Amino acid sequence: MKYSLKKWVSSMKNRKTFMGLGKVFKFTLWQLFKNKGNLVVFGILIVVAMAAVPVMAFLFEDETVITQTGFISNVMTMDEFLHLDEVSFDARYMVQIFYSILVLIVCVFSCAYIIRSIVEEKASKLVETLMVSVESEALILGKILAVMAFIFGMLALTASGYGISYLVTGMFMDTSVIGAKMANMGITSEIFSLGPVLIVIIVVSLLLAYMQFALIAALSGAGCSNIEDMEGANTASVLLTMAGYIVTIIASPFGSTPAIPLSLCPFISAFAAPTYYVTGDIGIGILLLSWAIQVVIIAAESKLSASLYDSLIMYKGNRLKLTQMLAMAVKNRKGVK
Amino acid sequence: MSLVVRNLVKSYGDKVVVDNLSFEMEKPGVYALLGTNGAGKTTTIRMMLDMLSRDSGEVLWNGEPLSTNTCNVGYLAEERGLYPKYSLMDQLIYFAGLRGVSKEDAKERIKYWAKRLECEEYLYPPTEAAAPLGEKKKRAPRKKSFKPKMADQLSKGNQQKIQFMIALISDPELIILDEPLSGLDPVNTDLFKGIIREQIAAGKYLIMSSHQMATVEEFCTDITILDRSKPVLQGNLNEIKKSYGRVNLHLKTEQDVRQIIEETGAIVLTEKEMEYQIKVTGEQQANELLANLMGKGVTIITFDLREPSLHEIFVEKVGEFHEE
Repeated sequence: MKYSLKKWVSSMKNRKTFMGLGKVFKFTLWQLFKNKGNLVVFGILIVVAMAAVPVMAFLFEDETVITQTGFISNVMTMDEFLHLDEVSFDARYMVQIFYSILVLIVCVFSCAYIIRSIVEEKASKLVETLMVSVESEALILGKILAVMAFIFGMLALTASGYGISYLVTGMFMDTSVIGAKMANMGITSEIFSLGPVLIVIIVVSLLLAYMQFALIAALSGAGCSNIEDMEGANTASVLLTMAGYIVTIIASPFGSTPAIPLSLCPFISAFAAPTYYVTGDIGIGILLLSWAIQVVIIAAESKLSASLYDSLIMYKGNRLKLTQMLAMAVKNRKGVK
Repeated sequence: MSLVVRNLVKSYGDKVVVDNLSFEMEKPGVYALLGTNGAGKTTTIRMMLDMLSRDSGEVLWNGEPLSTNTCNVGYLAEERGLYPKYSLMDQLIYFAGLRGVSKEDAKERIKYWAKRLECEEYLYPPTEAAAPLGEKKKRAPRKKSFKPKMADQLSKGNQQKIQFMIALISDPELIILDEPLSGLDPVNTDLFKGIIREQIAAGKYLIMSSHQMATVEEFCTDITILDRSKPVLQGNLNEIKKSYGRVNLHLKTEQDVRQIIEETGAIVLTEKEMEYQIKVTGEQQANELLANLMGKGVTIITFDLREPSLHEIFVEKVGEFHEE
């Protein structure tokens, strides 16, 4: 293990694998921000986030919100009562659906950007010119990080827009109705107290989810040679993301029962683990274990990618399937570099 | 400085695409990689630049494995491209940055090369012409602001200028040009040739791959001819030519001399309005023919005995190899 780590570090030093990564990152990010379509989407999101609070406050101005009081008239045994979920079905469903949609949006958007960016470069016959100056790993990782910065920046600004709007609207209108509406859905400040720990958990979970799907998207994109193949590559990575999302949503009515297996299952854990932690179905130990598994998956994806990018980026032909990629990776291990 | 390429081998499955290729460049100049289509020229270049893994062999620059870290390389790829929707200036600064050129230096160099390659109009707003002497400068009509050009707004030739600029922007010591003049009009061909000559004069190492034999012959000192993945001829071009001897004769006269030529034993390859391309066995036969022509009072306009051209050597060598 020690030897292999030493060997890896020395090979990284010799190849200077990540030289130029910063330049690729900056250039890709700058071009993402310069793109008019992206700016329009960005603008719309911020406007919607800022307008949401006053619009909701205005619409529900005259509505009296009756908060649910907890009269339980069900007859149940002591055993049933003790094993009753602490979090209501509505609350769990809302938290899971909200977070899953967030992950879904982040991953689907990002994967599309990453694939487009890689395929465009390959289709424009630019790859050879680029690879004189930068290693394929740095080229693709630079893109992944740039898209990450762009999407997370967009999210952060949207969230900030919403927060500012909430504060400003609160000065002129009654915004308590929004909190009350959420409480009616079961999302109370007890469950969803947006403290620093929760923010860290959400950010780390989102980053891990992003990296897992982004690396798959990058591999998928690198296996394409022309713009026509882009859709196919996008579909493959979107399907994988959708699978994680759908399983999490389908599992939500089952309460805390599937919490542990789903939190530890690769790819699905990206959607499930943080929400089950928020709803109290898994403890911090399981969440950390889930993160560890996700890190291992990311490392495995990175290793596979590293052995493939060189070949894939120069590859021309029909879109490669995963089995063909794996065969290529095995073959590449024999080559001298 | 020196470049050593030793025993490069690359195969895809059972198909060997580069078969044990070796060559050396001990001093600055131009080394030509020639070959038929699919002979393995571009694959060799890609392996040299570490873009493709090789089955065996090594490429050394000053005794160290060649990489962009050990050598400042400029590369004009055969498959040329630019980002179609990004501004040219952004792209140039990006590529310069990747080659370790600071933004300020890059701007200076882009300015120089834009002028040199006559493509300033795509990168900079037009400069206002100075008012003629004695006249007051009129207030210029309101102009639209300069919109930076995107690559897809440029012709193929102009895109090639930008790509050439990218290859040279880091002031590389080793320049690899894969088919540098293909697709250029005669004016731009001369422009490119002028720059290549400047680079040679500046002591750069150039590796050129091309199908245009006349162009290669103009610049290169050493060659490798590849055919079906194997090197079939290698060495110094002058030495190779000398080894063939002076056997090509270009003769132009004012009379029909076909019979005299055939009497001498030389072979007429082509004939057009008393202009002959002749194959002789050597200088002795050529002198004999000249004496015969003069003895019979033929007016000679051109009598040019020369070594075979690179084109002829290429065709002959590749032909020989195919016959084998």
